[in-house]
Amino acid sequence: MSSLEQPLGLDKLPCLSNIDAPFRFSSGACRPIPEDMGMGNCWIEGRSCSSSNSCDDDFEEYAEDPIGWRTKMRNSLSRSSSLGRSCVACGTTTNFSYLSNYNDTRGSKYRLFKDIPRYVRIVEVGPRDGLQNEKKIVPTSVKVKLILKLVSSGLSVVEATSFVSPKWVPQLADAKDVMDAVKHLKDVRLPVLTPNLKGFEAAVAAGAKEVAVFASASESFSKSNINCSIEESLVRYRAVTSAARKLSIPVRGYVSCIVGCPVEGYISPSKVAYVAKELHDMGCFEISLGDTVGVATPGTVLPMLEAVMAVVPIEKIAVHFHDTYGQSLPNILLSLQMGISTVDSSVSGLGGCPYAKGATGNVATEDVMYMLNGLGIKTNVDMDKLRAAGEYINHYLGRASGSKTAVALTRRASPLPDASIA
Amino acid sequence: MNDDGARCHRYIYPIPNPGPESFEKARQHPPSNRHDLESEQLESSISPPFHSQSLKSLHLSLLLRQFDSYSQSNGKEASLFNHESRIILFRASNRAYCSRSFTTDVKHKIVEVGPRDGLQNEKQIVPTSVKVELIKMLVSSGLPVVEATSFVSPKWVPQLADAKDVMSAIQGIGRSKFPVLTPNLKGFTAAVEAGAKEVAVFAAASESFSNSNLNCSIEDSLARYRDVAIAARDRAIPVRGYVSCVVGCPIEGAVPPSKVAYVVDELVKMGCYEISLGDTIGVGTPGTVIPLLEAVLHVVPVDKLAVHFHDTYGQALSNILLSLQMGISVVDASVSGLGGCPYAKGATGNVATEDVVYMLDGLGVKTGVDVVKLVSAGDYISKQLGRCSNSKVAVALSKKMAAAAASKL
Repeated sequence: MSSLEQPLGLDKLPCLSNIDAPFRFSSGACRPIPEDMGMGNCWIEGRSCSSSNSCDDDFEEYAEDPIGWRTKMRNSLSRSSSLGRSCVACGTTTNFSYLSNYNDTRGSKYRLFKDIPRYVRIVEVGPRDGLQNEKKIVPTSVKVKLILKLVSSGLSVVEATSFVSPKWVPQLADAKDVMDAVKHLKDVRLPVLTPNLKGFEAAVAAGAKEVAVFASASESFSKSNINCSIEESLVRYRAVTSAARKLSIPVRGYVSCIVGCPVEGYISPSKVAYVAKELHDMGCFEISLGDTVGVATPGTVLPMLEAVMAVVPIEKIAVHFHDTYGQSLPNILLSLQMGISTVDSSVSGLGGCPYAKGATGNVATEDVMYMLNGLGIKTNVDMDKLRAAGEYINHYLGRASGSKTAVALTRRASPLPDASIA
Repeated sequence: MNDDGARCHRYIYPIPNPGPESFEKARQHPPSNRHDLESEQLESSISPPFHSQSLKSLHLSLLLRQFDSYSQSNGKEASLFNHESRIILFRASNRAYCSRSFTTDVKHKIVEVGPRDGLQNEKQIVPTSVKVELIKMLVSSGLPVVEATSFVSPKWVPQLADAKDVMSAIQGIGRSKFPVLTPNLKGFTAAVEAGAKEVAVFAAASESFSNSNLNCSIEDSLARYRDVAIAARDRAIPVRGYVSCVVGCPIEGAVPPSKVAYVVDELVKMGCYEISLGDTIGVGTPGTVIPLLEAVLHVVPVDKLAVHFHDTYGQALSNILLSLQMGISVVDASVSGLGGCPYAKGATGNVATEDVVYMLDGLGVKTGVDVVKLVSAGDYISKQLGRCSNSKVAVALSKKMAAAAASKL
């Protein structure tokens, strides 16, 4: 699959740093200050950051230079000119005064992480997208408890359920009961899937305050999955969005098969951009791009994201990668490098891939969190509580976690073996 | 122009609907030379080892040829490119996003460590014939380097007690290289007698880990390896160096990049042609890999570096992507993700070669490896060990391959 796209990389136009600075902040999301990539402490630590990572914390100031090589780099660079690459900081804060010495040392790390967001919102889709692919029917009480545990870990968006016909998705037949139990929760958004106006009305009656609609970039997949063409589905969703607008209910749009379709094969980026634009124009506040069969690699994600970013503002784009071929984390890294700041994931990797039996599906939230922590990106999510939620649902489903981070963190207490291992 | 516009337009040329004329325009107006020069000067002052090959005029025809040949040789889902996305890709490659230190001219190399690093962590002793068959299958999949075995004391690593037999059985197979681990001069001598043509030595960046794993300090281990390197030089045998715990140590915690750079420097000075940086406990993330690589790139050119990430926390592939972006072109991996993590029971260890090849193929990187044959090799050893593959690509593709085979019957 391939692409010959060069991996994202070293930005070879340093003057962009001067242009970018004023545009770095946007409403609704923190954007990085040029010098502050927010990664200092994590880079020193070498481990994941503390489990609590609130956006409100102040970054620590680095008074010392525990790493000798940084001083060496700074010294060697002080001799060379800045080459016109002035480090214009927009809105510098005094906390990062140490970084002002960093002008020229940013080097590759700056170029690779120039656009990376300072805060990423994780949209937890486990209770809906995860559970709907599980064969064993999960009782309402277990679903509700899972949602409560997820909410308590700090996740600000948890996809609760789906108001589709129980004939199609028997797992979520108890949508109304689940909503009854969770609709009172504060400080959390609980979107629900609504495939049409009827589902929307049922959702509103059940107390939903946010809904989601689900289109496909592939005509064949649209027909086989939701039994109608792309255009017909968009018409349905326009009805939903105009009804939602009257009630001031936000609508999230999903686009599936953004890179490959199990039926058609390759999906062109322009098709994805078209569907994304339609969803955006009809009023969706966010468009989640879903790699339904997990075939995307960074080489195919790049052109697809470029096409979509040309027609939808970047802060309204979310990414929803599947880990079927193990590619979701590099794809997410690439999306972060391109400036995307909303990532969908499923606790413990709940939800297999219906198109490759036995293969995995959703990317595990714990693994995503581990990477985000390592990058110093704030998420407001507590890793320990998140893991506890994952353990809870795995215990009920009687299976091992789909998250490598969760497995490793749980078993890290093992002592060193005696035999040396060369 | 509002913020959104600025951000969006940064990534594309101003014409939203690509057509042939915008493509021509893109090709005729590559990024400014002045900026290239500045970048080059800056880069050479920061890090001389970065490749200075330029990406400009990356031969669109070369790109297209590669797309075509790739899509022809792969299944339907893999053939992803039509004319339109080629245009988008070319525009992308022609502007800032591309790595200056990564070109399609550089052939990337995968070093397969399954038969040694993978199997040595397996409890079940694998018969010599199975090891040899595995190596043969790996070679036939196109892997250029397959780490065959290790000449350490069988007391420490009983799995590899048959090192000599394995070496004699694989002499002359294919054109791959078969490095073997040699912890000291004694092991080196045994390796040479058994027919080894390349050896590897293994240092740690963490003092505690060196003491507990190799029973000696870092300096002592380096002294031993100097002896090996001298003996190897006399016989014109290349030596590959490994550094373990490059990000974190199970005992000490975080390992400073300067320490890693020191060990790497010593290994290079003694004559190692390549140094593989191993994240032994898999705790690295892109945020910690960058300072590590930057520190190491101060002392050693990028073409002498390899990365050996563990997938214990699922971070290996994103770390590898980042390393590629920084110019690394050699990646260690283990077929089927063989070899768990000895420090977190039940957790995974090595990254699976199939997953790495899938990602590299997706990036258009030439590895010379046939994924289907590789998956077969992984299936073989997984069956022998009586367990499932740790490679997601293998699991996904195996089901498909089985379904396709069944439908043909």
